Amino acid sequence: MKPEHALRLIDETQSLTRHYASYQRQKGGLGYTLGGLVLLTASLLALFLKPGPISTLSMCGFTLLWLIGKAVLSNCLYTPLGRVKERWSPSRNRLHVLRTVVGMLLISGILLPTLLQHTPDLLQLTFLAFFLLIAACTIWFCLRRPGEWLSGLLLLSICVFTAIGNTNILQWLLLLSFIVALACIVLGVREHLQFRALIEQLQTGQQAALWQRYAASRSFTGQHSSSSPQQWPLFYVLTASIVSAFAMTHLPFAAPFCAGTILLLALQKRSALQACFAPVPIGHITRRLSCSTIASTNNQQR
Amino acid sequence: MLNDSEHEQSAAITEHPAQPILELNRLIHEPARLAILAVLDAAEEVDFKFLLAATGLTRGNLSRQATKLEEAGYIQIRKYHKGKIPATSYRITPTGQSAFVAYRDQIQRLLHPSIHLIREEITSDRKEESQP
Repeated sequence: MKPEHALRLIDETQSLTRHYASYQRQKGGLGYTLGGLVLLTASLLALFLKPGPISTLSMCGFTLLWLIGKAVLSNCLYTPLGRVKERWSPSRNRLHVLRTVVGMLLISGILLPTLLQHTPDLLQLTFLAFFLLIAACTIWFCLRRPGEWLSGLLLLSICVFTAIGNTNILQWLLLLSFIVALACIVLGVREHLQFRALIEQLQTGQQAALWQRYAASRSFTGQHSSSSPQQWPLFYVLTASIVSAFAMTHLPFAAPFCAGTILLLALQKRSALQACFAPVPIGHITRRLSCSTIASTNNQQR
Repeated sequence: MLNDSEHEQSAAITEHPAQPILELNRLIHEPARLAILAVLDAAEEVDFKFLLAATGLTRGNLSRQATKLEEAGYIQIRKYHKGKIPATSYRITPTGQSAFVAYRDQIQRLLHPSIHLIREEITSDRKEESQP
């Protein structure tokens, strides 16, 4: 394997790791699908239920159920090979701050006109402040993925609308919820299938096999220099030649057996023999030379 | 004081073709450790199980190579408990990250020396242009 292959192998391994890690923070997989289903059910219920405490409680229950469900799904389905924490860049962090602020502004924007119409008492204001605090925490801690943010925000908005009973905007909101729910279901299934393919690749050891091949191809580490598998056919051929020469001179009747054995060995290890007798590429010589130079330099340093 | 010919000779010695190869980080150059660092560089923290699957190393070898990298200050090993089960996770340090990036750069320079020469020329040109 050439050094450029090593670089490609590093890139592939890193993209594989990033892909796996993205399911811990960025991608939702079946969590999206669950979000879509919950949003769809909540929208349908909001269509039929009249605004009031029962519908508000059921909407809040749905939201809570979804948040718990997606956390369970994420832990059970997307960590079959342990946890890999995704690198969260500062730009992504800024984007998340922006999403939280926009989400809170939207929810406040829905609530404020109602507050201005009816002057609330202290208890209602306390409840409202508590709701806003919970909404902010939910968006910040639980809705880190873009799809989750959208469906979560819609669920929270439906909660608010069913509580205050503004039916004009609610209809438009429900239409938007249907579209987002369908998109989330499709996106979730697609991401889940992608994750299955990734896990299959990791569990069957395709990437690992490439690393092992890379390690085996590098004789300069000194680990494979004495007993490299490529040198074994040469050893077989030499031994067989000596034995057959001995047999030819002392036991003429055994000569055909020896010739047959050599032929069989040669056929069996044909590819390895070709590798042994093939002209060595210049790059390989340079690599070997360079590595022997490194080894000698290191010995001198010691 | 060195004259011009001596300067040229010393420059020729420093610009030996094997020099970039000699400068390669031997600790990272080993395939098992290279694989570990490649995985760790792509994430913030990685579990032992994932490292095993991604690199294809045996448990013992992975543990040994990781300890070597930890001794060099390239990675951090965190041992904790998931319930009653002991678990290990790995994290690359800033030193490890910069060493890995430098190693990759060196390998790329070895593969495509002309590209790096052009890049160096461009950067030096930019520096000259920026200076009044």
